[in-house]
Amino acid sequence: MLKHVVLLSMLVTVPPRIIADEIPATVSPESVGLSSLRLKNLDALMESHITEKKIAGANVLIARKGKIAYFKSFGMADDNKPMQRDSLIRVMSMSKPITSTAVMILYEQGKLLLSDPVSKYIPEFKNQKVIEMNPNGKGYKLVSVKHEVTIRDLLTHKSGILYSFLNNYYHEPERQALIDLYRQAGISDGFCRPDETIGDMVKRLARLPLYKQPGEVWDYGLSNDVLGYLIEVVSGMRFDEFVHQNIFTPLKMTDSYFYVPSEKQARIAAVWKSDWQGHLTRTDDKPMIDGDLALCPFDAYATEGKYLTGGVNVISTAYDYYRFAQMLLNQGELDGVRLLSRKTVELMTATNQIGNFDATFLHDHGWKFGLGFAIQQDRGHDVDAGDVGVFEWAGLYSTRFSVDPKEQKITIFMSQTTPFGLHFGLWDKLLVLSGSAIID
Amino acid sequence: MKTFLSIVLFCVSGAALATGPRVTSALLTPPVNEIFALDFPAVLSSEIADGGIAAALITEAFKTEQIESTITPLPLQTMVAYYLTEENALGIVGHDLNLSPAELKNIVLVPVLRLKESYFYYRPKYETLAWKGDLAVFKDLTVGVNKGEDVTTYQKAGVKIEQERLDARIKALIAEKIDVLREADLTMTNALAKNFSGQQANIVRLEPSAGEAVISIAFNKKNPKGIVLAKQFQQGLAKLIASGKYTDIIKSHIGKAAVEQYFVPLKK
Repeated sequence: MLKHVVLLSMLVTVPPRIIADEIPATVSPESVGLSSLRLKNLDALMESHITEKKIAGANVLIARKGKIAYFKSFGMADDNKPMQRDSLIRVMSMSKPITSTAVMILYEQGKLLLSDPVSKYIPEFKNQKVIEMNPNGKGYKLVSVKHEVTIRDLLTHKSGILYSFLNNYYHEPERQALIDLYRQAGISDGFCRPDETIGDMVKRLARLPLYKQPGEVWDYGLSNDVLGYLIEVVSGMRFDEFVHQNIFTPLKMTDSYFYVPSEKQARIAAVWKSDWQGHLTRTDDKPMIDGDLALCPFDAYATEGKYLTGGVNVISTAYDYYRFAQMLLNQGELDGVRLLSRKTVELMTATNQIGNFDATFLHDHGWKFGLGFAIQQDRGHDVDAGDVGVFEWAGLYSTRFSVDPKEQKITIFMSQTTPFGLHFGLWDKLLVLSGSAIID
Repeated sequence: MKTFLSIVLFCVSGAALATGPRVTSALLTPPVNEIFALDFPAVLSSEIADGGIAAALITEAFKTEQIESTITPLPLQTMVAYYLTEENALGIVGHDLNLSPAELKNIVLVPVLRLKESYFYYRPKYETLAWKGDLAVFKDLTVGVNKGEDVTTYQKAGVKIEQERLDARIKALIAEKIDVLREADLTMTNALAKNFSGQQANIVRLEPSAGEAVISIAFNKKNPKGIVLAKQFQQGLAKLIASGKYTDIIKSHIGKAAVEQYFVPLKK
């Protein structure tokens, strides 16, 4: 009798967990040239990180030749909730390649050119200034841009538009002066969603000075947030609607959202704070402020909102993101649906977009930045993803994806762990293990 | 002539963009008589298609005297001040410009628009506040005001002050971190409708009105054109008021019925 009461009360009190559309079964690793035995090293690596409480949980997916050969969940998604393959994950900056793809869809429709000045679509970008410190160190002056910020500058992070949080790590007077202006003007990195539209924020941002002359800098920043609004202007649609209609729906990314509907909220994984020394705590509903970094992981539980950022807004699953990555690996097509042409994907993954700069922000020398992600240019440096031509990006709550076109291999790691910088070793090892499982 | 134009276009386009010859709009349309304006939501803002009522009035007053002008809204008072003091700009527009006595000596201040201002409180925190026009009522309370606003009268009355952007002040009001905020009625109505629609009923305007926010142009006497254009602008503005076009421009933005609700007439 007691058993029945307990069961009944569970049925009444536990919100229904709407599961994902069917995820295809994994194939035998050997059928796609991977070793089952060697992939087991991944199990051991991940389990040790869970046991040692370095991370609470994660999903790891490895695909080769268009088939998923390894897809496992480890540890916990939330208190008393195991990580599952359909757990919803804040992919944060892994939203950026999606935004870049949306821009390239408009590019292929003939609605914009990468060489277009942004001011053609957002007039506030006209006559921008660049901040320069006075030689005596007192105050700054504002000098005119040599050329206006272009769409290509935004896609490649050569715009001179900054992220505030990087002021915690890079200490220069120009950056400090500019971030002070960002703060006064209420410019948000978007990690805590402000109660305004992205258009309002972008128009204010456009009136603030740039950090350096466009094209003469490579600095990771709010460029994709500007692109999100530019997509609204060019397409005449809300940014999230454009992405749903042109990317999520055709790619059958049925678990990807800007705001997660209430029926799927139970699947959202919590963000965990970890020192990677065994101290692991679930974050709560208070903003986490560290200098110029402000994080609000609880924003993911909002079912609606106005702020639609092209930089960090998307919440997705490992499987959905795999479908997006596979489309790129297939040079623009998945399951008979073509989003981009081969030529456009070639352009996005070309390694000559940022001139002499190297994409050292997450990677190393020997890495370049294309139109949405970092690309490995040589194998002579410390960060090695296994091949020249591999393209990758990451998200602030320790998520990663890597696409190796030569080996037709995709590796995805999705945890929800902060701070970001401590998972690099685990990710590097994951790539080594996924690469060393190749046996053909 | 055609050949000459082609040569000119070719010459100016060379350094524009690396991807090929492009004539950017910035190269061909340098701002004429540029005046830098501090964003003031609902009446002067880059977020409004034509820059808002104040921008439209200024442009039209200049036009009356056959003078072209460019209003460049900026989100920060520090940037507006920078252009006045460091770049010797023709002029700046705003209210609560927070100019020093030395800076005031070097400007010609021309009022353009007078808006009614009020105090607002959050009803869940206070059922009512006994405001009758004397700041002493707010003693020991915290009032949120615009950045740059002169706060000496508050300090004398023992009122605590928070100076923030409007959205931040409204959030602070709702979070009960401040007790009252002061803002132009039109700006507040607009901000509540735009970003805080769920809280409109909870945020209450206090009667009587708190005063007025005067949006003015500060023409820079140090700029070679400053004094002359100040005079011409004043003439243009007077003609605009006399012809009734001044009120028509306001009506076209907010409707006939709202003019008296939000504005104090500007004297001819």
